[in-house]
Amino acid sequence: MSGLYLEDYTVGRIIETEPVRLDADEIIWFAELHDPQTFHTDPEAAKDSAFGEHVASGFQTVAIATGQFIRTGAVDGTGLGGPGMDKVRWTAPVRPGETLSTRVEVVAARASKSDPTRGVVTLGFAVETEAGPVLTFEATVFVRSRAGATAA
Amino acid sequence: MTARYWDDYTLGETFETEPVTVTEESIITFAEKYDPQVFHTDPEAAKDSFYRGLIASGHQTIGLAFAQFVRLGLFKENSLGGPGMDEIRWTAPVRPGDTLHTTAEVVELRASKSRPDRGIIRVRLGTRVDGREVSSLVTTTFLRRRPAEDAA
Repeated sequence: MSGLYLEDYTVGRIIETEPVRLDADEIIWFAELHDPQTFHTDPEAAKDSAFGEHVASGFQTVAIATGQFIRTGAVDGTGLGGPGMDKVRWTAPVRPGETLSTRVEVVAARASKSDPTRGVVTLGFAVETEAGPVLTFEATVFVRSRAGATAA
Repeated sequence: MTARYWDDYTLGETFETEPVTVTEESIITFAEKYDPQVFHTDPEAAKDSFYRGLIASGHQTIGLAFAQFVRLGLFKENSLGGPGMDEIRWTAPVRPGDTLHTTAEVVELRASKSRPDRGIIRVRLGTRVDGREVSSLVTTTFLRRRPAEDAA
Protein backbone atom coordinates (compact mmCIF):
# COMPACT_ATOMS: atom_id res chain seq x y z
CA MET A 1 0.00 0.00 0.00
CA SER A 2 1.30 3.48 -0.78
CA GLY A 3 0.83 6.29 1.70
CA LEU A 4 -2.77 7.37 2.22
CA TYR A 5 -3.78 11.02 2.23
CA LEU A 6 -6.52 12.49 4.39
CA GLU A 7 -9.01 12.09 1.55
CA ASP A 8 -8.29 8.32 1.45
CA TYR A 9 -9.18 7.83 5.11
CA THR A 10 -12.92 7.41 4.66
CA VAL A 11 -14.83 6.63 7.82
CA GLY A 12 -15.43 2.89 8.07
CA ARG A 13 -12.49 1.94 5.82
CA ILE A 14 -10.75 -1.18 7.12
CA ILE A 15 -7.00 -1.68 6.89
CA GLU A 16 -5.84 -5.25 7.46
CA THR A 17 -2.32 -5.92 8.72
CA GLU A 18 0.04 -8.91 8.65
CA PRO A 19 -0.34 -11.25 11.64
CA VAL A 20 2.76 -11.55 13.82
CA ARG A 21 3.81 -14.29 16.25
CA LEU A 22 5.08 -13.26 19.66
CA ASP A 23 7.62 -15.52 21.39
CA ALA A 24 8.82 -15.63 24.99
CA ASP A 25 12.21 -14.02 24.28
CA GLU A 26 10.55 -11.01 22.69
CA ILE A 27 8.15 -10.68 25.65
CA ILE A 28 11.08 -10.71 28.08
CA TRP A 29 13.21 -8.28 26.02
CA PHE A 30 10.40 -5.75 25.90
CA ALA A 31 9.39 -6.12 29.53
CA GLU A 32 12.88 -5.75 30.98
CA LEU A 33 13.11 -2.32 29.34
CA HIS A 34 9.51 -1.11 29.51
CA ASP A 35 7.40 -3.10 31.97
CA PRO A 36 9.59 -5.05 34.44
CA GLN A 37 6.90 -6.94 36.34
CA THR A 38 7.66 -10.59 37.05
CA PHE A 39 4.65 -11.95 35.15
CA HIS A 40 6.25 -10.36 32.03
CA THR A 41 9.98 -10.89 32.72
CA ASP A 42 10.24 -14.28 34.43
CA PRO A 43 8.35 -17.26 32.96
CA GLU A 44 8.96 -19.35 36.12
CA ALA A 45 8.01 -16.71 38.71
CA ALA A 46 4.99 -15.81 36.55
CA LYS A 47 3.42 -19.14 37.56
CA ASP A 48 3.00 -17.79 41.10
CA SER A 49 1.66 -14.43 39.95
CA ALA A 50 -1.92 -13.21 39.59
CA PHE A 51 -1.86 -14.43 35.96
CA GLY A 52 -0.56 -17.90 36.81
CA GLU A 53 1.53 -17.92 33.62
CA HIS A 54 3.91 -15.86 31.51
CA VAL A 55 2.08 -13.05 29.66
CA ALA A 56 3.10 -10.15 27.42
CA SER A 57 3.14 -6.54 28.57
CA GLY A 58 0.10 -4.64 27.35
CA PHE A 59 2.43 -1.84 26.27
CA GLN A 60 4.08 -4.36 23.96
CA THR A 61 0.86 -5.55 22.34
CA VAL A 62 -0.16 -1.93 21.67
CA ALA A 63 3.28 -1.28 20.14
CA ILE A 64 3.12 -4.43 18.00
CA ALA A 65 -0.31 -3.47 16.66
CA THR A 66 1.02 -0.02 15.81
CA GLY A 67 4.10 -1.46 14.10
CA GLN A 68 2.00 -3.77 11.94
CA PHE A 69 -0.16 -0.82 10.89
CA ILE A 70 2.94 1.22 9.98
CA ARG A 71 4.21 -1.74 7.91
CA THR A 72 1.10 -1.66 5.69
CA GLY A 73 2.57 1.52 4.20
CA ALA A 74 -0.59 3.50 4.99
CA VAL A 75 1.37 6.43 6.39
CA ASP A 76 4.49 6.18 4.17
CA GLY A 77 5.34 9.73 3.18
CA THR A 78 1.96 11.01 4.36
CA GLY A 79 2.12 10.43 8.13
CA LEU A 80 3.12 13.40 10.30
CA GLY A 81 3.21 11.65 13.66
CA GLY A 82 0.53 11.38 16.26
CA PRO A 83 -0.65 13.37 19.26
CA GLY A 84 -1.87 10.39 21.25
CA MET A 85 -4.01 7.36 21.95
CA ASP A 86 -7.05 6.71 24.09
CA LYS A 87 -9.34 3.98 25.43
CA VAL A 88 -6.67 1.27 25.56
CA ARG A 89 -8.36 -1.91 26.82
CA TRP A 90 -6.53 -5.16 27.49
CA THR A 91 -9.36 -7.68 27.52
CA ALA A 92 -7.37 -10.92 27.68
CA PRO A 93 -3.75 -11.92 28.32
CA VAL A 94 -1.38 -12.68 25.44
CA ARG A 95 0.87 -15.69 25.95
CA PRO A 96 4.14 -16.74 24.30
CA GLY A 97 3.64 -18.40 20.94
CA GLU A 98 0.36 -16.67 20.18
CA THR A 99 -0.13 -14.81 16.91
CA LEU A 100 -1.51 -11.27 16.99
CA SER A 101 -3.82 -10.15 14.17
CA THR A 102 -4.60 -6.44 14.01
CA ARG A 103 -7.46 -4.84 12.14
CA VAL A 104 -7.62 -1.04 11.85
CA GLU A 105 -10.77 0.92 11.13
CA VAL A 106 -11.05 4.62 10.30
CA VAL A 107 -13.26 6.05 13.05
CA ALA A 108 -13.05 9.76 12.19
CA ALA A 109 -11.19 12.00 9.74
CA ARG A 110 -11.22 15.76 9.41
CA ALA A 111 -9.15 18.58 7.95
CA SER A 112 -7.01 20.57 10.35
CA LYS A 113 -8.59 23.89 11.25
CA SER A 114 -5.26 25.67 11.49
CA ASP A 115 -3.42 24.01 8.59
CA PRO A 116 -5.32 22.97 5.42
CA THR A 117 -2.37 20.87 4.18
CA ARG A 118 -3.00 18.23 6.85
CA GLY A 119 -5.75 16.34 8.58
CA VAL A 120 -6.46 14.50 11.80
CA VAL A 121 -7.47 10.84 11.60
CA THR A 122 -8.72 8.64 14.44
CA LEU A 123 -8.05 4.92 13.97
CA GLY A 124 -9.72 2.13 15.91
CA PHE A 125 -7.42 -0.84 16.50
CA ALA A 126 -8.76 -4.30 17.30
CA VAL A 127 -6.29 -7.09 18.06
CA GLU A 128 -6.99 -10.78 18.47
CA THR A 129 -5.09 -14.04 18.82
CA GLU A 130 -6.09 -17.62 18.10
CA ALA A 131 -7.80 -17.51 21.52
CA GLY A 132 -9.98 -14.48 20.78
CA PRO A 133 -9.98 -10.68 21.22
CA VAL A 134 -7.16 -9.31 23.41
CA LEU A 135 -6.92 -5.56 22.86
CA THR A 136 -8.69 -2.48 21.50
CA PHE A 137 -7.54 1.13 21.39
CA GLU A 138 -7.86 4.36 19.46
CA ALA A 139 -4.90 6.23 17.99
CA THR A 140 -4.93 9.70 16.48
CA VAL A 141 -2.54 10.47 13.62
CA PHE A 142 -1.74 13.58 11.60
CA VAL A 143 -1.64 12.98 7.82
CA ARG A 144 -1.03 15.11 4.75
CA SER A 145 -4.05 16.08 2.68
CA ARG A 146 -4.07 15.62 -1.09
CA ALA A 147 -5.23 19.22 -1.42
CA GLY A 148 -2.20 20.30 0.60
CA ALA A 149 0.16 18.15 -1.48
CA THR A 150 -1.15 19.72 -4.70
CA ALA A 151 -0.79 23.22 -3.30
CA ALA A 152 2.81 22.64 -2.21
CA MET B 1 10.23 0.37 48.67
CA THR B 2 7.77 -2.14 50.14
CA ALA B 3 4.81 -3.09 47.99
CA ARG B 4 1.71 -1.26 49.13
CA TYR B 5 -1.87 -2.39 49.31
CA TRP B 6 -4.66 -0.39 47.65
CA ASP B 7 -5.66 0.93 51.08
CA ASP B 8 -2.23 2.56 51.51
CA TYR B 9 -2.63 5.18 48.78
CA THR B 10 -4.16 8.64 49.03
CA LEU B 11 -5.69 10.67 46.24
CA GLY B 12 -3.26 13.25 44.88
CA GLU B 13 -0.19 11.48 46.27
CA THR B 14 2.84 11.78 43.96
CA PHE B 15 5.98 9.69 43.40
CA GLU B 16 9.13 10.78 41.57
CA THR B 17 10.89 8.13 39.51
CA GLU B 18 14.58 7.78 38.61
CA PRO B 19 15.53 9.77 35.50
CA VAL B 20 16.39 7.76 32.38
CA THR B 21 18.33 8.95 29.33
CA VAL B 22 17.27 7.93 25.83
CA THR B 23 20.06 6.92 23.43
CA GLU B 24 20.02 7.05 19.63
CA GLU B 25 20.73 3.31 19.52
CA SER B 26 17.75 2.48 21.76
CA ILE B 27 15.47 4.73 19.68
CA ILE B 28 16.40 2.92 16.47
CA THR B 29 16.26 -0.58 18.00
CA PHE B 30 12.79 0.03 19.41
CA ALA B 31 11.43 1.69 16.27
CA GLU B 32 12.68 -1.01 13.89
CA LYS B 33 10.54 -3.47 15.84
CA TYR B 34 7.47 -1.46 16.75
CA ASP B 35 7.29 1.89 14.94
CA PRO B 36 9.28 1.77 11.68
CA GLN B 37 8.86 5.33 10.44
CA VAL B 38 11.97 7.12 9.08
CA PHE B 39 11.91 9.85 11.72
CA HIS B 40 12.34 7.05 14.32
CA THR B 41 14.71 4.68 12.45
CA ASP B 42 17.03 6.70 10.20
CA PRO B 43 18.99 9.67 11.63
CA GLU B 44 19.93 10.94 8.15
CA ALA B 45 16.52 10.67 6.50
CA ALA B 46 14.96 12.06 9.69
CA LYS B 47 16.68 15.40 8.99
CA ASP B 48 14.45 15.86 5.94
CA SER B 49 11.31 14.83 7.83
CA PHE B 50 8.71 16.97 9.47
CA TYR B 51 10.59 16.57 12.78
CA ARG B 52 14.01 17.76 11.44
CA GLY B 53 15.92 14.96 13.15
CA LEU B 54 15.56 11.61 14.87
CA ILE B 55 12.88 11.37 17.56
CA ALA B 56 11.84 8.49 19.81
CA SER B 57 8.66 6.52 19.16
CA GLY B 58 5.98 7.68 21.54
CA HIS B 59 5.47 4.02 22.47
CA GLN B 60 9.08 3.85 23.65
CA THR B 61 8.68 7.02 25.72
CA ILE B 62 5.60 5.78 27.56
CA GLY B 63 7.19 2.34 28.01
CA LEU B 64 10.31 3.86 29.58
CA ALA B 65 8.14 6.04 31.84
CA PHE B 66 6.09 3.05 32.95
CA ALA B 67 9.24 0.98 33.59
CA GLN B 68 10.58 3.68 35.92
CA PHE B 69 7.27 3.65 37.76
CA VAL B 70 7.35 -0.15 38.09
CA ARG B 71 10.93 0.04 39.42
CA LEU B 72 9.71 2.09 42.40
CA GLY B 73 8.42 -1.27 43.64
CA LEU B 74 5.05 0.08 44.77
CA PHE B 75 2.90 -2.56 43.08
CA LYS B 76 4.94 -5.78 42.90
CA GLU B 77 2.95 -8.86 43.98
CA ASN B 78 -0.05 -6.69 44.87
CA SER B 79 -0.71 -5.91 41.22
CA LEU B 80 -3.48 -8.01 39.73
CA GLY B 81 -2.92 -6.59 36.28
CA GLY B 82 -4.41 -3.66 34.46
CA PRO B 83 -7.52 -3.44 32.29
CA GLY B 84 -6.34 -0.40 30.37
CA MET B 85 -4.98 3.09 30.01
CA ASP B 86 -6.43 6.36 28.76
CA GLU B 87 -5.50 9.83 27.60
CA ILE B 88 -2.08 8.99 26.19
CA ARG B 89 -0.64 12.28 24.91
CA TRP B 90 2.62 13.01 23.13
CA THR B 91 3.05 16.74 23.43
CA ALA B 92 6.69 17.27 22.39
CA PRO B 93 9.33 15.18 20.59
CA VAL B 94 11.96 13.21 22.54
CA ARG B 95 15.41 13.25 20.95
CA PRO B 96 18.62 11.24 21.48
CA GLY B 97 20.33 12.26 24.71
CA ASP B 98 17.16 13.60 26.32
CA THR B 99 16.63 12.60 29.96
CA LEU B 100 13.11 11.64 30.98
CA HIS B 101 11.80 12.64 34.41
CA THR B 102 8.50 10.96 35.24
CA THR B 103 6.14 11.88 38.06
CA ALA B 104 3.36 9.49 39.05
CA GLU B 105 0.20 10.92 40.62
CA VAL B 106 -2.70 8.98 42.11
CA VAL B 107 -5.74 10.44 40.33
CA GLU B 108 -8.46 7.95 41.29
CA LEU B 109 -9.05 5.29 43.96
CA ARG B 110 -12.13 3.11 43.87
CA ALA B 111 -12.99 -0.05 45.80
CA SER B 112 -14.18 -2.94 43.65
CA LYS B 113 -17.90 -3.57 44.08
CA SER B 114 -17.75 -7.14 42.87
CA ARG B 115 -14.38 -8.22 44.36
CA PRO B 116 -13.82 -7.17 47.97
CA ASP B 117 -10.18 -8.36 47.87
CA ARG B 118 -9.15 -5.60 45.45
CA GLY B 119 -9.39 -1.94 44.57
CA ILE B 120 -8.87 0.09 41.42
CA ILE B 121 -6.11 2.67 41.26
CA ARG B 122 -5.61 5.14 38.42
CA VAL B 123 -2.17 6.71 38.14
CA ARG B 124 -1.21 9.58 35.86
CA LEU B 125 2.36 9.40 34.56
CA GLY B 126 3.65 12.76 33.40
CA THR B 127 7.08 12.72 31.72
CA ARG B 128 9.25 15.82 31.31
CA VAL B 129 12.46 16.73 29.48
CA ASP B 130 14.18 19.87 30.79
CA GLY B 131 11.03 20.74 32.71
CA ARG B 132 8.72 20.52 29.71
CA GLU B 133 6.11 17.77 29.57
CA VAL B 134 6.63 15.45 26.59
CA SER B 135 4.11 12.71 27.35
CA SER B 136 1.39 11.72 29.76
CA LEU B 137 -1.05 8.89 30.29
CA VAL B 138 -3.42 7.48 32.91
CA THR B 139 -3.08 3.79 33.76
CA THR B 140 -5.69 1.70 35.54
CA THR B 141 -4.55 -1.18 37.77
CA PHE B 142 -6.27 -3.69 40.05
CA LEU B 143 -4.48 -3.83 43.41
CA ARG B 144 -4.89 -6.17 46.34
CA ARG B 145 -6.53 -4.71 49.45
CA ARG B 146 -4.93 -5.15 52.84
CA PRO B 147 -6.11 -8.50 54.21
CA ALA B 148 -8.66 -8.10 57.04
CA GLU B 149 -6.40 -9.73 59.67
CA ASP B 150 -3.79 -7.00 58.98
CA ALA B 151 -6.25 -4.18 59.42
CA ALA B 152 -5.23 -3.52 63.02
